[in-house]
Amino acid sequence: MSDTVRHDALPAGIDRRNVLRLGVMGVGAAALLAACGEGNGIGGNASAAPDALPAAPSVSNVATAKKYSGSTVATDIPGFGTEMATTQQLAKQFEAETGIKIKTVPLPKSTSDAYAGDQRLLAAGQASPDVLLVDLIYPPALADYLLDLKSHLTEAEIALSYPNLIAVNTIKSRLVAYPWYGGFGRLYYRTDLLQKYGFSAPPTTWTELTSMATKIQAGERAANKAFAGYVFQGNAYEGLTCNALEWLASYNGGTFVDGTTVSVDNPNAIAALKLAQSWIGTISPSGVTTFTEDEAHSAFGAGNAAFMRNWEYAQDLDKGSNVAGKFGVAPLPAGAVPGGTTAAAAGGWAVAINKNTKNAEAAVEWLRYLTSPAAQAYRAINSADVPAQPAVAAMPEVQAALPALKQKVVPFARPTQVGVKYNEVSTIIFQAVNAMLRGSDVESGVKKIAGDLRGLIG
Amino acid sequence: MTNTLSREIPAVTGRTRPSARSRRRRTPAARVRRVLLYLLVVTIAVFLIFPVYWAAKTALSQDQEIYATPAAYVPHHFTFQHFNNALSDPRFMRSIVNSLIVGGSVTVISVFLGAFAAYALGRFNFRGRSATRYLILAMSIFPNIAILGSLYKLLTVTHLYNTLPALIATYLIFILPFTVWTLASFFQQLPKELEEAASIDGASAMQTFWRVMMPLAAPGLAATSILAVIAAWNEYLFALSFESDSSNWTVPVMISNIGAQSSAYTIPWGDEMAASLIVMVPVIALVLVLQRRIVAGLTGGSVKE
Amino acid sequence: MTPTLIVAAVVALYPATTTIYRSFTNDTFGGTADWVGLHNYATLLHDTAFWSSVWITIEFTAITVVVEAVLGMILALTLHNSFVSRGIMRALLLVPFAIINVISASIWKLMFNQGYGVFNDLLVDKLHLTDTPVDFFATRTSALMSVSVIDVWKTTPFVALLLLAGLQTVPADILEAAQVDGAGPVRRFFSITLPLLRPALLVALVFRTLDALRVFDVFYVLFGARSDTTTMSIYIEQNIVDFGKAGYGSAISVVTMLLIAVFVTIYVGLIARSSK
Repeated sequence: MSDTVRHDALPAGIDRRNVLRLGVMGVGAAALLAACGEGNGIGGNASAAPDALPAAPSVSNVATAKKYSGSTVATDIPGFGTEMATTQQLAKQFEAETGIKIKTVPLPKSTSDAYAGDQRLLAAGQASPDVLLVDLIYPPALADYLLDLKSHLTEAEIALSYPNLIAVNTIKSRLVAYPWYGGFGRLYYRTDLLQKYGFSAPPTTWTELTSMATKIQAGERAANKAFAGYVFQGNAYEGLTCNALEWLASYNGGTFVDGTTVSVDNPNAIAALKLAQSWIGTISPSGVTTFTEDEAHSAFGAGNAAFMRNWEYAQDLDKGSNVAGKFGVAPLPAGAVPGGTTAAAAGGWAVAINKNTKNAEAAVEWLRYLTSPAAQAYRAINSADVPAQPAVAAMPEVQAALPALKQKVVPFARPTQVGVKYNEVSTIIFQAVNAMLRGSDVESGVKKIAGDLRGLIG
Repeated sequence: MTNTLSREIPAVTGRTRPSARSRRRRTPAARVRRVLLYLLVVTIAVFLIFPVYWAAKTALSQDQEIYATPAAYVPHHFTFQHFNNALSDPRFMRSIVNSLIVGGSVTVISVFLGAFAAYALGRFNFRGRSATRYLILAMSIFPNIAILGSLYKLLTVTHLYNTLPALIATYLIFILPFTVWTLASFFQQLPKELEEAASIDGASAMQTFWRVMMPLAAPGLAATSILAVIAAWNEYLFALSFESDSSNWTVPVMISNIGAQSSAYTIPWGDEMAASLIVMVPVIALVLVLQRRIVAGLTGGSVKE
Repeated sequence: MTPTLIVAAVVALYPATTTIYRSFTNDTFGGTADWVGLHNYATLLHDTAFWSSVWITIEFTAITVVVEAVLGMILALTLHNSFVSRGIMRALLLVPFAIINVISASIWKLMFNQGYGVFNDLLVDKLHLTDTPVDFFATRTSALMSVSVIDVWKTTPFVALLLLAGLQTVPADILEAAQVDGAGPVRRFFSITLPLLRPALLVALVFRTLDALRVFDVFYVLFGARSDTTTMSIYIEQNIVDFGKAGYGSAISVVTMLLIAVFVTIYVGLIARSSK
């Protein structure tokens, strides 16, 4: 090594050119091995390459759409995964049949990032994208910037969707977004473990679930220290609001805010939250308070949980996990109180049109196709998206792809009627509930939630 | 020319090295120190590498194994599926190119501009010197999220929204102050006699700058350019907010959206880790290339290879 | 100098001034933007969520900056010696850097996981130090410690690199002369090396502090919107984006910037003194 200043500055002893060569070789090797791996089937999961997707259904509204042939519609699409692939197929099909050019704008994976982006572009009055995809909790906040679809869609078309979902998207009697796909909270349970411990059916009340989970966990923990009775989404985020909503509604304790009235301070709600709090450290590990859907999915999928609460997508565990073929889906348990019912939080996404769009009619035609029963069935089968229309959910091929749809579901919507303030409401709720799960007192916590919410909404 | 200088002013260019005399001594105490030194080095290496090893292990494991208990230290079933997924995503390669362009440009610009400003701040006493230093530093006190909305408006007005130059310009906000300050401190270190000697020899201010000060500040230039590249490479918020076309996505945004087989709620750990490892290669390569170019370029190539 | 100032002015001044202006309004998404004077600031004074975000950010900054300074110094000193594979070690310094911030937070989250994380595996199964898996994020303190470990891993190389470059400008003869005079390595370090390193050290500390005070990614990836780990940046993001309260959010931003400016002034004062 020489003494010159320059050599001191650089990582001496490594020739830069060699590192570059190594680097290129490394990437090349990885690519080569990857190709080989694919061919020999060395390990790897079964993968459905995007171009193996079946063709999208034909456009039913092609006649009206052709009138706007030649115009360009910029539309949000999911930016990742199988959802992106199916939506891209739909876009291609639409373009081919109608001559309307579709320019796709991929959304970031994180919902809040997508919302932030929508906020920015709508506040800045941008005309593109023409068609937006919004999570079900956002239409109330974005309502003023979206087109009223009632003047563009027929009543028959609107009636196709679940009334619940239409109601959530109707702000001040304007339909600002049309439901695209849904999702409801479900209970996943290990069929083999239930059998092993002598239970004939999944639990119908939370109390039953608690006792079943306790017994199973005690038995399994001997061999598997990481085994948990029940896993759910306990992190401080929107998913916890959904879980908490389900607890409260199942106990006939309201939904935190009913309409625009704060309703959380009632004994049923307190009982529900106390039960949830009791799970932590007993049938749910304390780490559950950092779980999102993915962690619960992985814990259950690795065989480390007896019960799991998750959306329908988790059925993909059947396609390749340690619990493939060993689990079933059931409605969430009810609260063991009078008026208790199974309750599922209603999730999903909707399609909306930017008020500033310069291509309203063409955009509407694209929206029509994207949300058509045929397209929803296509997406249900190929990207596991729960249809937002009961007729589609009842189709046999859809039910074959998503067996959970055969179950009864009693949906409850999150309190989005508070409009723009929804995010703040949800934050107050999930932060407080997360603290309760971590051990803080439930009764004073509920009082605080009620106080904060009333202060916010009035 | 630099060789002459380094002979005349060994104090500046020298390094701490055990002199020949101390090396020959090799007392038991010195040997123990040596062993401890190597132990320390190994510990540091493990500390630095372990998480990356874990990322590599995850990238080479099948999905089920990633969450398996007990944790597997070596994958039981190797798979290159994740690397394949990452490489076969057409947007992935594009994002690496984008990041290289942005990272490279920002670094070159900020080191170039920064060197000038740093020289002025470090060597000359002019009125308003402190104020300028504070002003430049003040650029760094904004949390990125706070200025996001305003920058967004600025970019839409100047039609830079959804272009790569948008990122190059906005990254300068947090990279330039750092460059200026770091280089200023390096320039400040250098003894005054150099400039006096150079001016006695008849060199102009610019010549002094290029041929005397810059070569001696080479370690600082190299370090600063590395850090600038890394800062630009890692940035997520602006890259996400100012680019709407996925063909303009940089690596951090792309990696968050990777995973062609995943659904809305799944986090494709394997794919993300594979992608992250793949991009380590270009960034380290970029760092090394830039070091060489920047240091060589700015020192006028007058330093021995 | 002038081109630099122009760039600074254009790119930084506009957002700064608009943010300050907006902090005096009640600008909300989907609502109006009327002038409300100091109302936002008055609310901020009583906002417990804001002050808790201030405290956690300051605590995080204090811990990480101190640890990184010490560890960075150790790393730099170690790597400054000549030994076999020194070049590789220096290149290794780049490794934590080259991993994207969000990814590094994710991989550490995997490792910290209570169920399948490798740390719990080591603690419980391999080293038998405890019986039950530890939840590293259980309390505010443990969460803070975990996040600090991640940040130390990720950015100590930054400090080390700067100090290493600084060490290379320390004249060898002075140190050798001191050695001949009988000064031990510790004395040599504190009396000669450290003072000469002071400018580089302080620059490293200034920018580490600035970054730590503005931390967002690692806390967000690990804890989301949990109330006891919301940093100042996360709180700003919550207000501006999630709640759509751009006016209030701008007020928070301004106060945050002022707090950061206070810290910076202290540091710069120290630097000014050291260069005399």
